[in-house]
Amino acid sequence: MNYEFSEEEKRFRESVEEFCKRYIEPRWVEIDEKGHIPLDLIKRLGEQGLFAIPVPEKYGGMGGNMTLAAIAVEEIAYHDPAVAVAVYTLLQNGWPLALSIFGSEAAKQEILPKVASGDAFFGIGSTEPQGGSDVAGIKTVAKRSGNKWVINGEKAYISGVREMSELPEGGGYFLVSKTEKAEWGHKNITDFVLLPKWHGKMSEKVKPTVYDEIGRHGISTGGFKIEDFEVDDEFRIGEINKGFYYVMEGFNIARVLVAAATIGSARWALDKGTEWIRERKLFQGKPIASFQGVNFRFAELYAELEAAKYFVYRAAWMVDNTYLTNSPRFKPRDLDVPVALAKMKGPETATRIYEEVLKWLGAYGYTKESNVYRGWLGTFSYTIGAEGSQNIMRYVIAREVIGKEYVSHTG
Amino acid sequence: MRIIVALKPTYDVSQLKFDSEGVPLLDTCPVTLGEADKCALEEALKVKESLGATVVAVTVGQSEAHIKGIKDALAMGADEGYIIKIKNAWNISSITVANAIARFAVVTGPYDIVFTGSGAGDTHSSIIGPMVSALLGYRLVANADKVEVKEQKAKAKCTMEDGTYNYEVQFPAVITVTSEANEPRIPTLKAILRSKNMQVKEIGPEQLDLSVEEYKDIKVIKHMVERKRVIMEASDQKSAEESVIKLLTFLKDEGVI
Amino acid sequence: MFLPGRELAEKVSGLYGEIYYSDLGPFDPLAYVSALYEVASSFSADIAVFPCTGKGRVLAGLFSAKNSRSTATDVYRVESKENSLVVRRLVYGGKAEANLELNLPATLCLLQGSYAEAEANLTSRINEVSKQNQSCRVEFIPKKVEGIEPDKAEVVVVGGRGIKTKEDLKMIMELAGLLKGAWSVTRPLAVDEGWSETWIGITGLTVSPKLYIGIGVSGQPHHMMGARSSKIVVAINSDRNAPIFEECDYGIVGDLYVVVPEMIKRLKNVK
Repeated sequence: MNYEFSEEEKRFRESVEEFCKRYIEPRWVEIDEKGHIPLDLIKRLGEQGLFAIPVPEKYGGMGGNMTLAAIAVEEIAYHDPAVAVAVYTLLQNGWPLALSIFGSEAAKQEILPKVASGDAFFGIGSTEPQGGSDVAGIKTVAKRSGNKWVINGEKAYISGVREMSELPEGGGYFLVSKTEKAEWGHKNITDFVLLPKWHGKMSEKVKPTVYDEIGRHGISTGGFKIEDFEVDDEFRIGEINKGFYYVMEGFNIARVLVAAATIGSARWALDKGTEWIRERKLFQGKPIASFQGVNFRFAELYAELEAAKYFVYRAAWMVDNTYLTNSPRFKPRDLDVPVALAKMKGPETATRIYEEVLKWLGAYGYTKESNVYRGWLGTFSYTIGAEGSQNIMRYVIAREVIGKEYVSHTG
Repeated sequence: MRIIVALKPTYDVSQLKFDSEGVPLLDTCPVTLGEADKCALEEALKVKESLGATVVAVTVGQSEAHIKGIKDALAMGADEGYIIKIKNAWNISSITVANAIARFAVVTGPYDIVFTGSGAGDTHSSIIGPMVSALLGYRLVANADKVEVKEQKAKAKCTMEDGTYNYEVQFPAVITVTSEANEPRIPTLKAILRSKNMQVKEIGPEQLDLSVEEYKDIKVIKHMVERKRVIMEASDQKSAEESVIKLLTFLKDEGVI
Repeated sequence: MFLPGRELAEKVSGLYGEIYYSDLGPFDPLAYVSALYEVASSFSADIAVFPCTGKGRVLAGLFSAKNSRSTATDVYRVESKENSLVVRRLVYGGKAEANLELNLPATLCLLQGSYAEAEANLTSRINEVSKQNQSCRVEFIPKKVEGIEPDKAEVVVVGGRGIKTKEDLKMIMELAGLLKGAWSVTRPLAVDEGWSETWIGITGLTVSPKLYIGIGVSGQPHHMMGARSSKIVVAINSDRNAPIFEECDYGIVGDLYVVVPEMIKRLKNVK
């Protein structure tokens, strides 16, 4: 096992760090405060080649891999602890990769180069008002009509709704839909590329709304109603009725990057905390770092963060050795547990670190001026869920390790 | 066109610390390519993109930092990179450094332009570029804030103490570039992957017919300026008023107001 | 002594025995140095001295390389020995000093403010050196001088990163005016924000006034290189750990937006 990053990986991390120091670090608080990632920053991220990193060059991607994408997302999150920019970036890496694996040649050529350049958005459209974790229970329906499909339904708690409508080209989603009829099940789901705005034109058949969230304000979360939206069959992703399996693989890919974002933000918090406990002096000049109540807790959190980091990069390595190599060592199902471990540990470790650092900071941490609360709220959103709830991660690990016959969704 | 960019990895002096005896803690001070050097490389790369040129990056020294500096230059887009193998590169005389670069230019040349940073971040003597120009017999533009390169000549805007100088100079020329000249590109992943298999070439002083002059017994210690360091606190309006009154009294006593 | 014009040569009459000049026109470094070579070749100078300015450094480099002279810049103390000079120079942005020995012939760039102005009453001979060939086309645009120039002022008030908007610079200007001095900024305010054409620092102006007041200036090495030789340094900054407090005579740790208006108020009252 090689526990070191390669020279190119290290150099790439440095280049991302330089980019973040120049273009993200000075603005992350404003982005969180104003609730908006400036479009010029999105374009710059595209120009720097930080989108579509694992996507092949022939589709406009960078010809890199998930390890590099995870490095980029982690570093961006370190410089944007509220994680909005990091999340935007991870979505423009994970779902384009999923599309490049499962989508049609035509869809890939049409969409991916514009996502890579920062002109279009591509995310995941799976969750609905009545449920997210229960993908088999979605109600959006796609009905075949000649060489088109007509889609009706509603999606909720979807990232990027506003960005998609603001970007010059537009963008859309890896849409998860029922085939012909909305019955509960895994074998009647078909995926599509849904582009509510494309070539600068917003369709009237998709009506988006944006929510007001408690944190991670820079990136929008919202929903949209789909009314008789027509999609060409060449924008169907993969085979009819196999959609459940494709989106599960897509979630596995995206989850690695979500975990990478949370550990990047958590590392910022722990670094801030380290600086603080060295400087803060109480009880006649003693730095609070010298109190065992503080430094023992520090050691525990440091250990958890290191562990979470290794989960992330091990999962990224496995994704690379499943989809991005000429001789795959793993099958997609082999990714379930390693990815669940990363996605379970990452956000939860981040939440624990933020809570403790805020306690070290005392009343100062409770003020907006300290900015630490922004990272707390941002990473906490991933403890709630998004690309997979924390309980689903537990379910996956239990099911795979103890055995399917013992572990069920609802039991 | 052929262009050399001479680079120097320097200590980041804003992070430099000293021990209790005033000895600089150089081992723990980060070393990177300076801002002006990166701008020099960026100017060369701009010429490569607009007019087509071979860009050769060179540094005088063989430490890890020097090798990394050249690798970073390759990742930014330089075509070739060399280290001139001299030990203790930070302890050699300026004329040795300039001679090394000049002889390198002669041995691997000819070149149309030599770009350097206007001054290094750590020792800031700003004389290497001019020395190289005199040694090679090239024309010189120093401290350029803005550079425009054409086929046979360059235009540059330089800010000096008394105003702005707009120069137009024919090649071959040495152009020293300030950190105001441009925003150096950050290597993209594609550029990093492309440079992965590029080698950092080495060239020794013997190949350049170079005699190395080291400073003997340079003693570097913390520069202590005698200052009174009378510090007052102004945490609220009242203490602000009091400190200002005290300050103005001090300054009157000093005779400066 | 060599100067690039007759007028300048006459100004230093009395200070040197032999004064040389050439009508060189706007600064063409190679032409200037070629005139210098002409003068230098007529006698062998053990030591060549230049000021530590942008132009001075360029000329020092060009002049030195011709005869492989040992060179040191940012020098503030010189001791001569038999066949060498022992010089003390500033390095690492002025954070450290280096003591080194230079063999003759040597070239020095002296830091502004490291020596007092010379006084002498010699009989001077002014000699003209022939015009040199131009190495390049030069167009010179003199800088606009508004008010007192910082490098000629007795009092300099400097605004740093703590100043939040361009409007707030008016406070700096007002304070400078009340103290009959000049105002300036640190490099980021000039280069990044564009609030001034000039700035104080190693890549900008060097000042050595009787009084320097840094407002919202943290005291980074490259800025202090341009201000260190001030007689009295005053710092106003809200960050207790700002490096400038190590290098000041008097400092106030506080909000400049409270302290500076207070200073202005009191100075106005005195008037």
